Amino acid sequence: MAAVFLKDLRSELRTPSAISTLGMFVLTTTVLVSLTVVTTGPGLDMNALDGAALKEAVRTGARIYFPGQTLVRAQLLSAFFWIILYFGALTGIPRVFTKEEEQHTAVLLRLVARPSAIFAGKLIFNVILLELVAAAVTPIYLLLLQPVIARPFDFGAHIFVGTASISGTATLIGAMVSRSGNRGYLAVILGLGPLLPVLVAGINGTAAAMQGTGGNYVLGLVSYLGMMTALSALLFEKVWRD
Amino acid sequence: MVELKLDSISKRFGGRQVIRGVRAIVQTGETLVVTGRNGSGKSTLLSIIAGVLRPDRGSAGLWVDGVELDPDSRRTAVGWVAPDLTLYRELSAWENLDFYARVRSLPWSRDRAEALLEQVGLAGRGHDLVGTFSSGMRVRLKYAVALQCRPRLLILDEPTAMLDQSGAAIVEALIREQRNRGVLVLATNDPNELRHGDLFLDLEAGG
Repeated sequence: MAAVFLKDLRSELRTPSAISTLGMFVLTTTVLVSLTVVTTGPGLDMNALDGAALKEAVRTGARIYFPGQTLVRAQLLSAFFWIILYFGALTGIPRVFTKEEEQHTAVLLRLVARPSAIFAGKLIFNVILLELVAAAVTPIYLLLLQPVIARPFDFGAHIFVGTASISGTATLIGAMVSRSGNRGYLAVILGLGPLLPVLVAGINGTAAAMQGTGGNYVLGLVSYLGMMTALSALLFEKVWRD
Repeated sequence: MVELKLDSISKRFGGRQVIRGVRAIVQTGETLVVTGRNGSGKSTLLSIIAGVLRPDRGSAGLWVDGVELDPDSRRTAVGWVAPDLTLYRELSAWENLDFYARVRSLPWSRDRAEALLEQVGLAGRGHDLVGTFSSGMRVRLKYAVALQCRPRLLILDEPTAMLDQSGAAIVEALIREQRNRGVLVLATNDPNELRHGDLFLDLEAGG
């Protein structure tokens, strides 16, 4: 396991493949979203009065809107973050397997290495890779989109655990698509089903952390990560061999 | 005592039957030479013998002292050199040898790596990245990787392709050495290499 991880790390540092694909995708889409999508204005970073207060304000001609991030803005910014991370992960993470197939190193790897060691080594590599990308892109996201975050620790915890969950599932997807022709396309399609719960929990969790209300999904994400990792480890040998 | 038992191996890709009912028993000191035109299934058969491709029917069992090796034990008992196999270009020769030894849990040292590199004519090139090697040097390094585990079963596909005269002489020596260690399976279309064979399997003739 350590040998596979160290080999992938050394290989990636010398000829960046996954990190450049993943990092550039995540960075460019974050910048693009920040430049094109309106995330400020009434209903977004300005709350409206409602009920009796609204009637009174209309009657007296007072201000209807007052500053403050709305739930809609929190959910919108959360969704951007996780969708960018999802597409980035499924574009970059399968590279650790497709690279082995493209360079014809996979056959010898199948001969000499236990499938469990390959899966564990590549899983750890992918988790670290995506966590590093998430750690690098989060400050840029915060700077460009300026979400208001009421519970920073919860916000960070959801990103950390959700990122690990995406990496675990994407590792198995990467092994599945590595020998097919339309790898990138297939990875995104195949990944959507198993990663939907992670995306929903991630979006709701970070939105709740921004607003300081609602639930905490960290435990659910940890459970899902454990379940998907165990399932992926069981399925990997079949996928890798056949 | 090493025995390779090929029992009614068949393999089909889509609608095409590539290998049909191949049978053979190869014992210590013997060489099985597999021949056949391009596309006759030589490399497919070698992949099945190596254990990286499942046959549709039959089996390729490797027996040592009367016990059939399980997939885990085979990892440290099989050496394979083929044009389709590639080493990591972005790693040095030493790093490649180190990686393959670690994933197979082989006892490993820099001295052993240096000795293997010397054996295949790459002494002093351990630090160099494989990407900077010529095609012949890469083949030599594949031999070093295959020999790491002192293989009981050595599989060679077009063994001297891309090699110069000195490389071919090294392969000759390795083939002689393998006769004392175990079993050799050699796929070739080179008439010069047929002399190594004790048993012959012509896939063109239907096995």
